[in-house]
Amino acid sequence: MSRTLDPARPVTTATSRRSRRGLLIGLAALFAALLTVSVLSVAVGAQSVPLATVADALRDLHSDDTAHQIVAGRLPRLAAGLLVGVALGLAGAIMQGVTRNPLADPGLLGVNAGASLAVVVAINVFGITTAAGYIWFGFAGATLVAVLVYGVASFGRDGATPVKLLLAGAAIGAALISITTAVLLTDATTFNQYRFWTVGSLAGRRWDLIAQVAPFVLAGAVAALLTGRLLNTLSLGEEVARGLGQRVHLARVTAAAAAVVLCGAATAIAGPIWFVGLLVPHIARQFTGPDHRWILPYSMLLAPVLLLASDVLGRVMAPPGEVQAGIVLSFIGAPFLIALMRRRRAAAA
Amino acid sequence: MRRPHRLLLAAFGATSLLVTTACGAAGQASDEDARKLPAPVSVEHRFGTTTLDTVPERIVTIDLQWTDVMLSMGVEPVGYSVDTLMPETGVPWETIPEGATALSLTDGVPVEQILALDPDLVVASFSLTDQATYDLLSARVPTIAGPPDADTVIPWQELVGTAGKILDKTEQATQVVSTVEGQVAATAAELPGLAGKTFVLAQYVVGDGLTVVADEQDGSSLFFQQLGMTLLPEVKAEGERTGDARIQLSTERIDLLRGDLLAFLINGGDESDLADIPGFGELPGTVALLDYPTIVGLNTPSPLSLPYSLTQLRPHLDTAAAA
Amino acid sequence: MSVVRRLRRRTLARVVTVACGLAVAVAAIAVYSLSLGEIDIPAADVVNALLGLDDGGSAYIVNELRLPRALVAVLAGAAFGMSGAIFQSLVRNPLASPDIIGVTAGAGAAAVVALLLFGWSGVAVSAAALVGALATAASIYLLAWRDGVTGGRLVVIGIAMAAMLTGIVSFTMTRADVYDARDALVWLTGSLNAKTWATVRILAPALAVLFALALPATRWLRALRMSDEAARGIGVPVERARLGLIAIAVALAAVATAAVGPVAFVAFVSGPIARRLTGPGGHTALVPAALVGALVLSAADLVAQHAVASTAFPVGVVTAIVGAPYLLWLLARTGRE
Repeated sequence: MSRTLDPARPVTTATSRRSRRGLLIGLAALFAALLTVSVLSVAVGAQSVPLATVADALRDLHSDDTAHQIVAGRLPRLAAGLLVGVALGLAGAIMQGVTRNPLADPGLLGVNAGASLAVVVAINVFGITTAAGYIWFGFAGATLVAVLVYGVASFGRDGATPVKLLLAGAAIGAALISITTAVLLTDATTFNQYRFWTVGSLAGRRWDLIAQVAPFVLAGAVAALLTGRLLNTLSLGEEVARGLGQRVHLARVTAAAAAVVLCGAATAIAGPIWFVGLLVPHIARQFTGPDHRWILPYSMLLAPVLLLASDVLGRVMAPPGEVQAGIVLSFIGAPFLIALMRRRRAAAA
Repeated sequence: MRRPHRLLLAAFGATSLLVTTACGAAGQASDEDARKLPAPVSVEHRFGTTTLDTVPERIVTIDLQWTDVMLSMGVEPVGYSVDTLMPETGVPWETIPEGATALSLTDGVPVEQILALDPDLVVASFSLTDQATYDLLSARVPTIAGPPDADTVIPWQELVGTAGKILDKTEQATQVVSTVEGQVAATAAELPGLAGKTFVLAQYVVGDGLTVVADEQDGSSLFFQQLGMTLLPEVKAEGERTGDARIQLSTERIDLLRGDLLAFLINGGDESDLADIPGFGELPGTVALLDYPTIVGLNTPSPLSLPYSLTQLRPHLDTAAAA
Repeated sequence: MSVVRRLRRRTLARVVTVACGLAVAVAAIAVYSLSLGEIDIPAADVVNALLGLDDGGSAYIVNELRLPRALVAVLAGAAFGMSGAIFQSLVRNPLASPDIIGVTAGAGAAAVVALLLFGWSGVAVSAAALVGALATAASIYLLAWRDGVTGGRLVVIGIAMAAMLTGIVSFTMTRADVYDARDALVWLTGSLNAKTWATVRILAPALAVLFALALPATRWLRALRMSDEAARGIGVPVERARLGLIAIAVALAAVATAAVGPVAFVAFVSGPIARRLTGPGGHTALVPAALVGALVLSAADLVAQHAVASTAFPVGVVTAIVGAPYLLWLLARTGRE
């Protein structure tokens, strides 16, 4: 109850040792939840397929039978959900840790705005129409803009402070969105594709796309999980961190780089699903307290649970159509976050 | 296919205050030599009734359907709106006269640009939905807006009829209508095998889902019905259940695409994206993959678009009729 | 004491000078915009038209097309600018703008639903946007209330609500016909196209009342900017003052948004620019901020209309392209101080 969401709260080894067992059990429970939603996302869809057929289909994925093909089509979608969830959960946790700001979201570095503009340029200027073609644009756009924002924020004496990061991200993001809008207004064909991309969805993602992006997510995830201790030190404040021999700037850049790669990869697969990166670390901290060595794995498992659950729900809530996972997620996540905020003491903001 | 250069100019030119003044001739059209209509013509529309006494000579057309109708009547508009969904090479069935000014709707209907053309009639359908814009235009120029109910598409025959009355060319209007209707009727007569066959008109938005036309009154539905075909009953039932003219469909619900003829648009992708739709390769009927203009030509039909779309569809109609 | 007074007087003098300069700039741009357009109208004819000495074609263009548009730009810009400055002082954060309390998200969702699901247009959409903005702001404030409202909680709940409302917007956009969706995109970008005297007649009195309410409240704002304790110390009813100021700021932004759409960046950028011009004492100078807002919106519209020949863009496309580089420059400079 009395836990605060402030990541800057000092970590005492006593609390983490006391709850270590509980935290491990929680992690196992999350893993079980992830398994459950994974099974659901193969078994449940807009077209109901009997469980026996689902089992048959999993043994024979290349059959011409339509029901088998439907089940086979749900597998890459599951993989996409897992990758995107893992990436966004970790990226969000890192960004909140690096900026020591519980409001931080990978989107604040202008990642989504950058990816959006790059995708629009890919469609409009280069005439690329396939998702597999424009993911690289999305990836490159996200990364370039993140570097640019970080660079601009690093100007001046005290380097990239959280407030300057936020300001630079907001300013560059807004400018990029303007250019994107200008393109969309003059080219309705691009707009017609963009409006679907920008919702954030897991539908129609194919294996070739996933195979291309998966290595980035895996590498980013490994790097991210290793930053736990680093983020804990950073959370003590710059002076203390420096005093403990931490090279603050380097640590921050390394962690942020992992977050950008993860976020770029996620956006490349699913489009801009920005809310989950903000939400999940908040929920994770409810269980783990401020220790990043636990926040990171919790966020990593919690985000795909939420994303896949949203996806499954979206498949069955508006038959015969589907509601995109990004939309469902914001409708599940927002009340959750509001409730969470209301439970907190006024002082903790 | 698209216009990147103008666009980048737009984005970056905006940063430097690069102001260009377009020249236009202000002033009134001289009414003295205008040809009187035999009787005043009144047209009812969304914002009231517009009455014309003289035959307009400088017409601005907003929206594709009206541009087509005027062109089919042998009238060259002085200004016409650009449909940015169409290929950059232009609308495939239109030949726009050299002198006509292309109007961009990027910031809504450009009132001053239209007035600068000194028109004596503005006709529009679904792009003129704002009362203020209509007021500004109609204070200076007789303006005809879209139908009272924004969602209905006025039958093209009616538009041609209106144009005939306004232009004092009713006989030519009748002839345009009968020629185009005759082409559709001739196709139906040549392909008796289409009678009683079912059709589905759908698009796949790549990476999202399917949209299927479920309304028998939709322009494209009417077209297929004129060929003797019927809307797939399952689709019609689903439309009645949801109350939507276009229903959203998951890619897993291919059962609603099983018509004898499937007219299909891939929106934002190519044929390789059909692999996202389980069982698409095993569909029983004739699958006609069409491009965007062909579909628009059926959805919001005009006397110019229908013959074009009919030509594009013909091979598929032959296959479906023979099946 | 006398030192403080002298300092304050000097600050006041600078604020007045800056405000006058800005007012002249706004007027200059507005007048310039009257002579510029598809139809070339010489300055002399513009003056004749304004004075009613000419009632021909160019008089119509000047008096009915360009003048209301220029006035709406000035009024809406001023409202955005003042609203942003109030929020930034109140939340003590240069990042704050009316967006944090959901004005943009609420207005956007209501307008898009009105445009696309109900097929409304014109004034009805503006009314829906106004209701949407005010209702969203009220619910965010109420949800954030728990023994008072803290800035942080307000922001997070604002983000959560914005996420939901953005979801509604994007979902509705994917379900609409592409031509209707494009109209909605123009609205969401913010446009001054086809603004008539009807808009001015609603906007002007509404904003006059709000400006009149806001200016006396500057005193409270100055106290609240320091800290709640300091404000309480000099007898400011903290909770009531804050709620009143938020209400005024929200109403300003909501009315402006209803009239021209959620034009990005004007509310965000006006406060920092005004502060830079007025110097350190001018933190709470609302009039300069309002004038900067008017200037930014008018200038942006001029660029949006005429930068690319024969293609006019909604003004919202330009505000951020104009404002962002300035903000970045500001950012790089503050780092060095």
